[in-house]
Amino acid sequence: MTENTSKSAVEIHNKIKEGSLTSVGVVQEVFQAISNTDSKLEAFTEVYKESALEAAKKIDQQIAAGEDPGPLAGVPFSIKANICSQEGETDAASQILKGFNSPYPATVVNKLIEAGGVLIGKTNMDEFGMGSSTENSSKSTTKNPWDTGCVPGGSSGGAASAASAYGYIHLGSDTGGSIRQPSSYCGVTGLKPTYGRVSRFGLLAFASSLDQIGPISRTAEECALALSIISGKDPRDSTSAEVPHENYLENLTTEIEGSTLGIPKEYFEEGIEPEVRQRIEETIDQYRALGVGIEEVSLPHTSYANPTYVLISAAEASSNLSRYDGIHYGHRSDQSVDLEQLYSNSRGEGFGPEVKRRILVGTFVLSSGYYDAFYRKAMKVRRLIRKDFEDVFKKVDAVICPTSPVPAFPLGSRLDDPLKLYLVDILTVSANLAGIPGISFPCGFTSAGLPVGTQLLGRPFEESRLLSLVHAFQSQSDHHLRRPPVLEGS
Amino acid sequence: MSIEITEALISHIATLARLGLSESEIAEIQGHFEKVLHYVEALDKLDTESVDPSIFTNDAINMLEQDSPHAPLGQELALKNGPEVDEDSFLVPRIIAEAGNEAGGGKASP
Repeated sequence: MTENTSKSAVEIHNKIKEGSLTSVGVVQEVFQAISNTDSKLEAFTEVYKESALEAAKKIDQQIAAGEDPGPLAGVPFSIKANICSQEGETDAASQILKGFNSPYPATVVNKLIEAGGVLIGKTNMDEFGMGSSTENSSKSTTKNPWDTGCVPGGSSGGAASAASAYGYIHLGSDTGGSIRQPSSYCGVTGLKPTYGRVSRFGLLAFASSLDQIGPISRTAEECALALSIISGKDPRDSTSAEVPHENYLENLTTEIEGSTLGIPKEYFEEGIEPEVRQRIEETIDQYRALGVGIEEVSLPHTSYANPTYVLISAAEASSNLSRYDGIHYGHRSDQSVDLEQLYSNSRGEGFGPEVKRRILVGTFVLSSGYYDAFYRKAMKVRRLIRKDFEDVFKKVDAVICPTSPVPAFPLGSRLDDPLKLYLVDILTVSANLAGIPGISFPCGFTSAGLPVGTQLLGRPFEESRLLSLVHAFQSQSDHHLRRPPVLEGS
Repeated sequence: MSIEITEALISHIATLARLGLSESEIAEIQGHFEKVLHYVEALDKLDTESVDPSIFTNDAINMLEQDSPHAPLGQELALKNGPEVDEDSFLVPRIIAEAGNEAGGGKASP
């Protein structure tokens, strides 16, 4: 690991701003780190060396001229391959979008660049966000920096793997846990904001009522910096929320005494690996020692969350992905004689197996005769799941639980049975269904040296509280400071 | 609700989804459907008769914006990713037959 890639984005930004480091130097160093290590990890699908160095040079010139290039000046960041940028391809790791060059950047990309951030590349993912291991990618299979024989989690596995190995800020998206679960597996901090907190304009849609963009970084402090920049109402996303802007970095505090955390008993009932349970219990003890009140709470509809998610996300995906028609962008079959064949051949050739499964399940549950029994039923259960959280948040400020019932699993071990892979999401999907914020942060390791993540779920728009709870923990622990073995000798 | 998942049902759904599938894919998806439908059967245990569906988590409706003109994307940018385009259109196979000919068969006419 190079000297600067071990530092935080906040520290690097301050040094660039005061002139003791240059952005060009920092960006060159991160590309060197990627070139040393990424053949082992395959976290990045594309890197933008030329445009990044050009942008970094401009930042350095602005600073030399006494100008303020913004709160992220000179700091490298990456985006998941489903977030549009005008650099390179935005293909959501799907063959159907091979070669797609977005005519416009996502709002979050614009915001980070306007704040002085330097876009260094795109990270790998499960095709269209559908997966929990980054093995459903048409590009490559990303590996876990803590054990390259294990998955990094998914679907933002590239972003989490990159945050662990190279530091700085990596944007992911979270539809059912796709920021939090890979953050947990890679030993980094990942925040899924409240639904509507961050604009989805320029995010290739998977399930529009569940998708949110959020940051993955090593620390809560860096996530706070990124969220301060990317959050806010966007006229181009009518589902973005009209709530006052917050400076999450300035609001960050270690004064968490008197807060209350609820332990949802249903999240600990079954299927949690003993070592994961142990690390979470230790984290709860640490919060107790920090003066946080702990009480048991109940989220009675927890066991219904994953089936509800499977139905709603598939239904929305089948609708969203109908835009890939072989006509407007991406892959077009040359085996077609009429329009109907053009649609079905282009889609049949372009989509991967998991995406096809979900489109078909979604089409089925929306089809005549089945809509009420499946889709409408799931939307009703969603209401009950939201209500569970509303009730609990009258008693406690946030809930604490594992991010995933298991640590990172071996590559290929869950590919034979898609349903088995869906089960690693059981602790994360509720936050998307309820639209509430969630954060995963490293809280220790298994005896095999794999990271374990704790998850906190909070009230809508209380990201500041979640970030401070994690920041206070990170001020008293060093799990987030450990660096993965893949960097040894790099 | 008990549903028999047949190959014909999967083919019908694939037609609705405009998704070309091979025979082996149909067989694989048939098995997957059975597992998924069994998995989501859990929801039947809940009485939701009097529960309102929750489509979105922000309950805001009628998001209004200023009726002010702004520059559109532009034809060139909108067309640039089209796999088959001419100077101002996306091209598709012929969908209206010429007199005496059936529709289809025409390669990429506007």
